[in-house]
Amino acid sequence: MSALLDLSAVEMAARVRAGKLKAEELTKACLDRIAQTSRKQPSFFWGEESLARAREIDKQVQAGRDPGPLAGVPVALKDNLLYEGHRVGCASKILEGYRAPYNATVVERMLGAGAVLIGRTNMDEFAMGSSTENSAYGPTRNPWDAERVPGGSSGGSAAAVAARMVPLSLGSDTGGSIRQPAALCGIAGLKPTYGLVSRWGLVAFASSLDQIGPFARTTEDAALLLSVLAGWDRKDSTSAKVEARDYVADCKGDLNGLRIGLPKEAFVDGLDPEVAEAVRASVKAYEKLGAKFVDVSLPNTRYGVATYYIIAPSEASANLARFDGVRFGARKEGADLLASYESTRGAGFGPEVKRRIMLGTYALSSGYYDAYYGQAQRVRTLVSRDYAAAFEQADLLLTPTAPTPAFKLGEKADDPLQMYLNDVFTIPANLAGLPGLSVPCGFSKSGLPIGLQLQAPAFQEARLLRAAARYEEAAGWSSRAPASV
Amino acid sequence: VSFDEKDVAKIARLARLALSPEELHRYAQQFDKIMGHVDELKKAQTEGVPATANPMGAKNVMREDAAEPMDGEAFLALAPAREASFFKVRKVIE
Repeated sequence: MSALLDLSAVEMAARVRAGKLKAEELTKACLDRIAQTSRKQPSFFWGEESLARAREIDKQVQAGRDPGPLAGVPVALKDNLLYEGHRVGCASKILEGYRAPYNATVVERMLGAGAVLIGRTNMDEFAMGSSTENSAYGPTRNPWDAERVPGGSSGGSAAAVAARMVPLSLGSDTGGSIRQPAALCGIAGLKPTYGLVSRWGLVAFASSLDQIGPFARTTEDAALLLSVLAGWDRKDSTSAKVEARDYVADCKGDLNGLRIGLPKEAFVDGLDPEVAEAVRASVKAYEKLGAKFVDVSLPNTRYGVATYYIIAPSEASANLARFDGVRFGARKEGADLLASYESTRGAGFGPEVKRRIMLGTYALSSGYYDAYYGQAQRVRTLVSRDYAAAFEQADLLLTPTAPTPAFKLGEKADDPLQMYLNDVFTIPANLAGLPGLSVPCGFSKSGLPIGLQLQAPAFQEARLLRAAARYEEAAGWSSRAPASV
Repeated sequence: VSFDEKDVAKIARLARLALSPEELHRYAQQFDKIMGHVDELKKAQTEGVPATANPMGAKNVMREDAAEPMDGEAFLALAPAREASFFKVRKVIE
């Protein structure tokens, strides 16, 4: 593997901008690494096109123009983000042959910042899952142990960064789909505040929960990408009117006097002992860095998974109604129009997507609406109130990201409820719209990465990034690489 | 709640999904288990608590009602079946 791939994205961009490193050389190094590692991994890369784009960046530098903060940095996209003229499949048969007719805002912004888009990565179909096993392309494997899952739903994006195929990638997080795979793959993953990053051009799953965010090996690299992604977009009516800022600069500064809350609900029976131990050790490390810990309680997060499994499927059942075989994607003809819809959707969607569409359809159906969807929306308010109370005592909250390290392929595939419980620590932030970040905090005895999650009040990403960056430096976990690297 | 194949078939019809008999059977069992967990929600004390639809509290976001040009052909080209500038579907009216 080329030593270039050990550089941080911040360093890569700095060297390309200064004319000290050719973007083409960097892209070539990534493509070679991809060719070496991805034989058994379902992912799709744009080889020659990416090299041509890299040469274009080099020309800009030679002509004395600055390509931007991501100059020449290769970035991979989750397969649910639209990049004009390129295939987008959401890992689903129903989008067979679909090519994006326009760019997602995040794609537009990354291109404007000089990034080299290098490929699209595997995911759970329509972002529904926690293991990247629910994919029409087949499962992605964890770079730390090929018998284990990378987490999900953005498992391909997390695995690609962990395996040094790319320095940066994008994921989407509806109930933990960035943070949980970041934890299971031993890298940094950030779910920004709801509204901080435009979702224009993201294939919608659950619109009141979905957020796009970065994966990187370090917090500072995630901050670099976030600086490009963040900011108001008139094309997304849920996007927040906040100014773009330099999140890399926000990573500086000490943690003296920072108050970190430990929610008592996060340290319960059933938590893997090695995960509990690693997270408790991180508390000690934070104390040495000057942080103070307070006990807090988020009593209604015990309803988090149940609330999520009403709200997310309900919104999905509405969002996915558009996949009817009329305007795009695959069609399977039936005897009449209704039968055509049914056979197109029955054949095109995988088992988990059908399961969630039906759960949502049921929850929204006449006679059940208030008992399920209405109640879930009210509990959602209670979860937000819990956070508001906790953030009166604490600046940040610290919990495990996932209850266990990476599990084996197939281990939970037949038990949807067990799979859903993977997201017990990550779901509440989506319900309340708050930012959350996962960074590595240790390894199990068998060498699997463990992640800790930091959560902050809305739009306090700067605080989150600073706290993660200081810990990362002090703990040193992020410099470990899988044996396959 | 308890689900049988008939219940699942009814939901599948509402959701426009053709399912095999095996799928009906499997989903009935899984829905029992999943909804058993979801029923925990009923224990939450929510009297007088308002609903949250958008976590940032956004209400209606307005903009000018102005058309923007787009390349219709780029969208039509994605259709599984078309005729001229139309999407082609099965006859709706007998």
